[in-house]
Amino acid sequence: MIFGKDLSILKRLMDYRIFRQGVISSNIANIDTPGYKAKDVEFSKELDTAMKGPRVALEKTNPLHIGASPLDRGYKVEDDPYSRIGNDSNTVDIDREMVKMTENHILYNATARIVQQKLEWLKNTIGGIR
Amino acid sequence: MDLFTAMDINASGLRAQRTRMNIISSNIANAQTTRTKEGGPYKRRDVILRSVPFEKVLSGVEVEGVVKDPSPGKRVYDPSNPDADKDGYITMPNVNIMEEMVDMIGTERAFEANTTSIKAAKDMALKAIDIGRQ
Repeated sequence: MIFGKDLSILKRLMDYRIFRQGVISSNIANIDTPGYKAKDVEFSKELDTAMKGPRVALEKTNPLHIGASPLDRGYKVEDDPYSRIGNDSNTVDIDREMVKMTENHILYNATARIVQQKLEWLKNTIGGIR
Repeated sequence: MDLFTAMDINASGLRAQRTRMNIISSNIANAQTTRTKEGGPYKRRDVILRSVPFEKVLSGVEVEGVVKDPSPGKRVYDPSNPDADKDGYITMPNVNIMEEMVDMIGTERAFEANTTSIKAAKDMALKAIDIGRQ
């Protein structure tokens, strides 16, 4: 495989970051919803699954096929264990969400940069440095 | 789920906060209103927010309804007012300006948080476009 295993892991990582942005968006949108519980996706568990995942994604031509594409994997969304409960039993903590969002944003950009760099190297390897 | 879903979720948040801001404006505007179509002084309104499912595990927000605050208004002695009762007292709306101001700040900040989140999603999407660009 020309792109190697790293690129597929990076792809999964970016996929995870996008999903996490969605979860954080949900928390921020529901900042004033009574009874809403802040949610999060555990990073280490996701990375673990990504590392152990198959090297080559299997093509799904039939819904009964076993999917190996990262998009088919359901992420495990859990209540954020570090959030506190407010007086309307809403557990969204805006400071925490903002920090999480910034962290997620920076790491997504970093991953995108690595992918970009890898493709650049690949291009140089193929075409030679001019 | 893609980044546009994240933006949609925050857009639902923006919509809900905007509705809430409208309600606060209406409360402040009617802080002294003693006559309404239903009769009696203006009653303070409040929004009920409810989370709506978005793509299985995620959730947006929507305004489920607007409710009237049933608490009694302050009674003020003002015999010259045409709405005063036989003892000279008039019932004012149950709007507390300070409370509305605090709610307004909260709404403003929540709105800002949603726009910040949309901006983050937008930046991420733009970064993804840059991959593979010369």
